[in-house]
Amino acid sequence: MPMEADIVAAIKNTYDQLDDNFDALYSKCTTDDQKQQLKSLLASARDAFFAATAKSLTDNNPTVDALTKQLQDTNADLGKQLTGIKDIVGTLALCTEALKLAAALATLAAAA
Amino acid sequence: MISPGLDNFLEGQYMLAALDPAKYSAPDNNLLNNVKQIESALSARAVLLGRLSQLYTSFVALASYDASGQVKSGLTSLDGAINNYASVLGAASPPISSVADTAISDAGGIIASEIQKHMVLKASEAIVPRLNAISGLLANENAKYAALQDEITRGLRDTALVLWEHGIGAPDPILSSQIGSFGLTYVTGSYSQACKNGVAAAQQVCKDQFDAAIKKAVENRAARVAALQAQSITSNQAALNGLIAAHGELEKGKPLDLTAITEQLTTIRGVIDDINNAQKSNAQKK
Repeated sequence: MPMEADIVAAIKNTYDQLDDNFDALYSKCTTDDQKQQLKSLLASARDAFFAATAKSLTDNNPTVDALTKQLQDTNADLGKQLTGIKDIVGTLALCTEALKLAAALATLAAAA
Repeated sequence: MISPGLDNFLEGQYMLAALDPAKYSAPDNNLLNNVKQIESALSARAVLLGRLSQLYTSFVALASYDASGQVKSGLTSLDGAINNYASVLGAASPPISSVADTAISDAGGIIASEIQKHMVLKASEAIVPRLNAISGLLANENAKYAALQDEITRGLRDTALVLWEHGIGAPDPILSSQIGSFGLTYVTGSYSQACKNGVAAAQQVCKDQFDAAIKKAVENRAARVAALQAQSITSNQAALNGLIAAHGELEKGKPLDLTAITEQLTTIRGVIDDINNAQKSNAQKK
């Protein structure tokens, strides 16, 4: 079972990866929509991190456990893709997937 | 520490959204509400640690005279702060026996010094479960606050860098610390003399490299600050463990180690001072 700190760390990892690699991702975006999507993802990651920090997260829920593991795995995949961005559409889709997990985790963990 | 950092972080996010709108968004109401909630938890934590510190003032006094009334009042006050902190965190109140059941003044000894020893032991036995409860509540929180502090520092660093990119700010302190070690004196503002040699194109290359070097220096300093802050946040856990160990020794029959207790309390008071100073700073801003 993940500890509360592990859940926050996984969400923080998504936020930090997006923040640290923003310029590289931005330079690969070919449309304004992609650029706007990237900006929104960073803002959502920031909000998910602060929501998770503000709310009391619990680790005794199997759904939270599964989501945390999924987010950790998605973060690891994202880290690999960010080392050499070849397909911006695919990378943005993976970022979006990570953000969906982070946001769901922040909400579900607080309510569990 | 964290609380003024949170305010600065938020202010910085507004500036970043204005100066680098392609990347940053201004804080929305959700973010503002979450920050308020974090600040409430920080206040409750400061109250809790403050009450613990007050309790120890009475406990140390108990070693000199009959301060059992003060200790009982300190325990009651601490229990309120523990329950309030648990409530702010959404955690269950830790199971602690009530102060009414604590027989600190029920000394049965004949000799005054024995009565005193008995009261100190009883008070110690009442304090330890509360220390364990606080330690349990803080354990998970510390990692969360360390992560929060790290994000605040990253945000402050980003704001500093974007301001610098926009020509706001001067790197005088960074350059002064470089030049001042070997007898040269840094002259305020002289960084603007950098890259004045050579043709215009070469000057521009030099200027870009100089600006990039200043950014690296800011990034290094931010990373160092983040590491130190993470250590400071977790220091209260070590202090609580130190106090629990000191009580263990006392209950084994060893003399009350006031030096060990004072040392750990100094650490805890340092944490309280940081939070209180932060709150004063926030109050002055508002």
